Amino acid sequence: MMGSRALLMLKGVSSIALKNQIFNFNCKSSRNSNSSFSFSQVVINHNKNNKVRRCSTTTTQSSLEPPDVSRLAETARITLTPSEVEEFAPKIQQVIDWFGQLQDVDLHSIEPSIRADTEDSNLRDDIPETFENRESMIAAVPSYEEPYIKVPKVLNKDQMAGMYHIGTKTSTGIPLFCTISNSDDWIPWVVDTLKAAAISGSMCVGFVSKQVVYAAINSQSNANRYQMVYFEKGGNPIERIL
Amino acid sequence: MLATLQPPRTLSRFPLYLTSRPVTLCTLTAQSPPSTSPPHSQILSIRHSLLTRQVTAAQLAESYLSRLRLTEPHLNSFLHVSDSDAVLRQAALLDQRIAGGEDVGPLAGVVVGVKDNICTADMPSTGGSRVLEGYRPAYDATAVRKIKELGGIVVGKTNLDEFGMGSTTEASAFQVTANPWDVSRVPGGSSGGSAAAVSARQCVVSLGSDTGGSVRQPASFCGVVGLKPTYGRVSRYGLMAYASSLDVIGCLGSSVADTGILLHAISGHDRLDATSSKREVPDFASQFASINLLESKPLKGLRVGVIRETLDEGVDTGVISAIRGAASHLEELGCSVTEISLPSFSLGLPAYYILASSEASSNLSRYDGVRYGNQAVADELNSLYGDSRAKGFGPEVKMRILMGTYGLSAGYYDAYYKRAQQVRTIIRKSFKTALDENDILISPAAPSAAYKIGEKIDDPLAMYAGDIMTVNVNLAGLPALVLPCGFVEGGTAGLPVGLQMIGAAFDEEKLLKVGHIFEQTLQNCRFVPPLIEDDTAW
Repeated sequence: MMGSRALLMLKGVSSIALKNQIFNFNCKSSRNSNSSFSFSQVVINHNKNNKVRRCSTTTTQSSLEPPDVSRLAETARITLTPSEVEEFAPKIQQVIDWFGQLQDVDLHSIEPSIRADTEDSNLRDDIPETFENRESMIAAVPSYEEPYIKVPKVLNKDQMAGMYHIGTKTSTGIPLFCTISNSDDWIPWVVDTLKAAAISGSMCVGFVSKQVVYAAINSQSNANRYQMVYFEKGGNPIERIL
Repeated sequence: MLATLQPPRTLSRFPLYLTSRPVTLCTLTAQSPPSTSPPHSQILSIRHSLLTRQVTAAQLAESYLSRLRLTEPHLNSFLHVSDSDAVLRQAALLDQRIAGGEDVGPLAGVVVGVKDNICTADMPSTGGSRVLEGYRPAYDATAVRKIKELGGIVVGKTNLDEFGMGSTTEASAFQVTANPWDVSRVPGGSSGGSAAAVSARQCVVSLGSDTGGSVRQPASFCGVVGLKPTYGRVSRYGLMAYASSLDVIGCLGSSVADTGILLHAISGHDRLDATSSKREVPDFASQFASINLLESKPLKGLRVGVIRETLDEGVDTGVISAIRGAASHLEELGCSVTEISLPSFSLGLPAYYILASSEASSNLSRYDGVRYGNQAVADELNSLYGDSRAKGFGPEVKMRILMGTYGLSAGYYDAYYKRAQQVRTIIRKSFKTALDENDILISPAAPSAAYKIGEKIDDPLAMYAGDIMTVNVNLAGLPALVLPCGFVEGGTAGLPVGLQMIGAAFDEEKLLKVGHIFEQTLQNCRFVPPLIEDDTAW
């Protein structure tokens, strides 16, 4: 269930420049008293490629984005504490800047080398062989229940995907919905859902797995413009609608 | 998470230590210090002693084990030492076979240390990392299997910087190894444990791995011989991969002859390593002519190129002096020595670190706590990965994985990894041109002698800068030999400086021949650290 997972605020928010007016929502769902949200937000321009465009707030030495250590850690599947991120970021930045000196070298028409030298095909026949010391390999597995290697559960898409009604924005009476999708291409998905919600003038909230909650607020004056907010959630959705 | 720094130890408690000697500057003409006779091949003399029944393998093994036990508290070269009974049993079996007149392999009775990132089936193999603490591989690396088949006895697993990432062993998750020439200094890295073990005669020879200089630089710091073979000469099966296009297994010994004999034992094509070369392996052991049989200019006609860029600013004057002294020595032996230039030399360092960290980020993704190694408690799979890796990896490894992840990210591949590969092409070509015009190239193995433990921990770039002499050789995949050639001030008896000789691809024969003659004709050079000088058993 959504509520059983702590949703982390996307670390990248702090590095994104806030272009427009900030609103802070504090939504309490009327049906499930455990949910509470806190937000900070950023504006995106909905472009045809449906990519979130980050605003770079620093002058970079190259035209490339500086390393976002939290995001790299997520990609590399290494949990970093915020203080570790702070500690590593300048060192990594320093080394990456130093790497940048290769940008100045004229490498026009030089072939890249995968390795020092390659001999002709050095492949052996594709015939399966039994490894003779299977017991030793299995003995090395930390968590083994014959014949399975045991790991904790993976987030189950089917259980979660759908649209949930989670309450009403008190100041305007606009109903709040949230939708859950584990799809990696959530942006186009959320935008489509927003368009549908925009017709009804409601706020639509999209979730991506357990980590980030994105809410999009449709601008009344411009149907193509959405404001994205990020927030952390601690509660359960109210009622599944679709 | 870095290993705790150990305070400098006083040697006065150590029973074998002699009174201090005057420091000898790096030179071949200074007043002669004691113990300056060139090293002889331990492997050959062990073989001779065994076959003529002067000594048994069990007695030899016991003498190495006792020296190991005596010196280990000061050095911490080993992460795991074999059970004595197991070692002596192997030695006893060998003695039986000798007594029975059976043929024994070229490494008979030779006590070997193996770097802990090389898999040994009957011993823990941690890679210097908590992520593999307690892990026992299900198989021997091919190089280890060959050593055992040829009569060698593995006495333990040596300390290293975690997964090979580092130049001092300070990045080991478990302990810092000390330099036998001065225990307040680093032995070099990442094969610091292997180099220190050979230097202190805790074992006869050892295996290391060299991705950016990790066999050669510690050999220089510890005053032993280190050999990095051509990429593909030795199978990498069983070597925990750091950077697959750069890694090689290398040999460390107290003489050129011993490293050559070990290299011959472990070389050859392996069907389990698709990058291993099918080229024939020459008999490296036949290069070691007795010094008495040599003519007066034994290296006449050999063209030696001194790499100008390695004797620039940033290199210790003492090191430069030692290398120039070595160049003079080579001239005396008949070589024609000229200075050559490799203009792309300095590009190698950033290119190396981009390639190495990118390949490492991929290679180390297998350490996820699922099939082997330490597993964190988590209620969800991604946290299992994230926490197991966070707890298991040290900070240097994490940093390199993150840098590599960045370099390989969509949109950055062209800017970093691909450009680094192009630089690799430039470097390969420039070495090839230089080696068409010269038989070997020479340079220092490091810009300085061993520095103090703790001196370079905080600044990553300062640490990386020390690899400048060695990384280009890995990028080009060439073989290189490092051997002691002089000293600089420091410690109680000076600190060793190694000469690096670089050869053409697969031309280890020439390196060994030249290295052997250089070594055997070197005057006034100490080869044994004061720590064990009094022990004549070795």
